[in-house]
Amino acid sequence: MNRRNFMEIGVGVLAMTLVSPLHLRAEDLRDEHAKAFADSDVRSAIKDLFGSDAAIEGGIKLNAPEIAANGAVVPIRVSTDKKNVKSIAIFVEHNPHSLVAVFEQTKRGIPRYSLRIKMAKTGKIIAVADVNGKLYKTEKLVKVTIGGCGG
Amino acid sequence: MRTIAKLKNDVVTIKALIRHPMLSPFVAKKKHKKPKYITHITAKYNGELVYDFYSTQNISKNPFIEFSFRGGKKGDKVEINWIDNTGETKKGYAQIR
Amino acid sequence: MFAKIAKLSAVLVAVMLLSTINLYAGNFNRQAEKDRMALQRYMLEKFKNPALNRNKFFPYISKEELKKEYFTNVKLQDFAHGSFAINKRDKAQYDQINEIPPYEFDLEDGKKLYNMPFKNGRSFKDCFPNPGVMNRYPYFDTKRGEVITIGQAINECRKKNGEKPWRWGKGKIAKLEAFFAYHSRGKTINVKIPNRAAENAYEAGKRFYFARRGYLGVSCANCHIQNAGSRVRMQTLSPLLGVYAHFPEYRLKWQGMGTIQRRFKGCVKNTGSVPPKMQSKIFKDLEYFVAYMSNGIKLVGPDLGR
Repeated sequence: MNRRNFMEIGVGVLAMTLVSPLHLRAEDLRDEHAKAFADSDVRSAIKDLFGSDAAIEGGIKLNAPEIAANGAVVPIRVSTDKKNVKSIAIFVEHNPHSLVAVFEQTKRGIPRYSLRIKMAKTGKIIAVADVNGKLYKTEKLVKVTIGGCGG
Repeated sequence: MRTIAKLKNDVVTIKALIRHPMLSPFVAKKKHKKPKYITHITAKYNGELVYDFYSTQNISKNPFIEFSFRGGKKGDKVEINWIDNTGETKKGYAQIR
Repeated sequence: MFAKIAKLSAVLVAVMLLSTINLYAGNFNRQAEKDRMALQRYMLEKFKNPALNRNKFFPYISKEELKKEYFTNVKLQDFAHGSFAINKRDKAQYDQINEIPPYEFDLEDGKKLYNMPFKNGRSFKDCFPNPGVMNRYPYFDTKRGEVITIGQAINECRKKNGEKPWRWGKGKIAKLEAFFAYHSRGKTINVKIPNRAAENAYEAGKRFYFARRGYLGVSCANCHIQNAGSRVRMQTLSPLLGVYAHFPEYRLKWQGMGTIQRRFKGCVKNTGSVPPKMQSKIFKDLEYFVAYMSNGIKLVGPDLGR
């Protein structure tokens, strides 16, 4: 992603200020990758966010239920053993906007996260990790039921 | 905000439940309300960023988050901040046990 | 001849007296006890080893699935958690979501509602000095001749103190019930049937439970006794046994708390028939029957639901 590359040019001072946050920068990622946050298609959202959709299968562990008890609350866990993770993003098929979450790695943070997501219907959850510029991806199919007795 | 912070083998694991409607634009329209969902959640330990999560309307109501970071001391506090699309912000704490 | 008639009537009177004496001896729950023990026996046997007893109880589920997805030796108290005590997949998600239960905020709200003063200065504390009251409801009020549910008691407290009653089923009433339930955890359900009228209420509730209705032509019993543990569109049907113990419920579908009356209404709607109004006589009788069937089980509410 653009901002990361900018940091890596080696402007140490800039890196320091970015690491000591004094306020929430809610706009940054959304401004730079506005399309990614609005895309309904998973592949284009991945491309918008990471600059490419070419990813190596594997390298990430994604835990999600085979059959979700309820589409409004699907608990998932994502993690990776890889070193030098820059970020991990989660996408889901069939939601109006496919991008679900982006975790920017921090110095002390461990790339292991849990979250509960909304799924409009049965579909794949896709996790993509940016490991030092290389993309890894894994996906899992989750069945979402309408509701027992038609309710 | 409900938080749990546990220290084990030099790794602090935080779990938190944040009270927020997470009303997506899709549902908000149906209910004739304005969309309201958290867009960014961060956590700081000793002033250092340890969690940087860009959230969307695809996250369930009353978001549950879990994350871990290395190096923490029992009794210390972890600060958790969130901001939503309307600009509302809130701060909470987790005490490491 | 008159002597004969006199003798017969004497015998008749004697028999009638004897039966009424029997009634006054307090055996109005005789049938109810039979029903309850039969239900327990059935459920305990059904969920002892689903894979082994496939032909008897689960002919439409594969043996592999029964072995993989279903718990064995489900004990009486386990049934307090409904389908989560039966299906491993459901239980895994239940455990994950229960790490920090989503109803924590509703409990906070419930506590505030409990302590909030009415316009006249009094509060719920005056009607319910100890919030751990869920094990005392529902009960049959012999003077008033009706079942009293916790929801009804809450709104009667409000009316008594000059406040407008709350909407049934969700929102404030469900949050206050959740607060009561939380403080009632561990208490044993012990619904009593004190007189003939109460027995009639129990029987009315039971009749509703077993009556087929709607365009689907199913009864509560079809799904929650006969087919408890089986699946409808990939969702495990919860059993009648223990259901009263885990209400009010934070249902993922509702994304909020709801009372058992709210669930009754939704379920009846799902069968394709118009449900009775919440807290109407028949729904209170239904709650009475349903609660009685959970006698002997300890309360665990508020709890998660699908």
